[in-house]
Amino acid sequence: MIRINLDVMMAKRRMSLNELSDKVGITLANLSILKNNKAKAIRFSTLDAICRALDCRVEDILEYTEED
Amino acid sequence: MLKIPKRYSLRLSLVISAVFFALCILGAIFLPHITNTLISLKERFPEGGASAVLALAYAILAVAAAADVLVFVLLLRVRKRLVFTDGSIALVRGISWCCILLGALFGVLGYYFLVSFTLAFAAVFLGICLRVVKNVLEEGAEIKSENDLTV
Repeated sequence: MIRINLDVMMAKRRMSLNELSDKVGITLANLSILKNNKAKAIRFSTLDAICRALDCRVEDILEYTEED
Repeated sequence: MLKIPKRYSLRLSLVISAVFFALCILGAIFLPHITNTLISLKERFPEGGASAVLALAYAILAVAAAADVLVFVLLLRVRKRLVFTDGSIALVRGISWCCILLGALFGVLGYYFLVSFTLAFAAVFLGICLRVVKNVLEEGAEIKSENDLTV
């Protein structure tokens, strides 16, 4: 499965969910869905905006694990 | 073709469903009289069949009323925009089983009134159609959940 390590990156950058939501331009509710690994899909544009806001690479946020 | 605006269409469906339920209650009151009239129209009728026909008729009415209640609840959910949800799918599944059960009951009634087989066929066919609608709704709910959880 694909895991989202958004909380790890946010902690590294010391950025709150509200701040990231403002910078990325998506709602707090959607960002929570993403952070809690509840999302079924992510748009390239969202991924692009998150990477830009957190100054990181895609693999810092997305991680593949074998468990379901 | 007559096209009723969406808002009024839903209201009309609710009214029709409520009227049908009222007809079921009326039917329950007059059912003994109706079955007696039907039996008297037949030249030969099996001995002791009258009570069986009455019991079957009440069972059919009860299942039809139950299906109508499910339809009414489903319409209320449609009004609340809760179409592609597990609850609505369960309701359509319930209505479909009610139709199939009605088909079975009409089939048994066919022993006394041959024409009931036509109604049994129609009810089972409607039940099958509703199962297809249920499958379509399930797919729709899956697509909706994917859409809702796309960030």
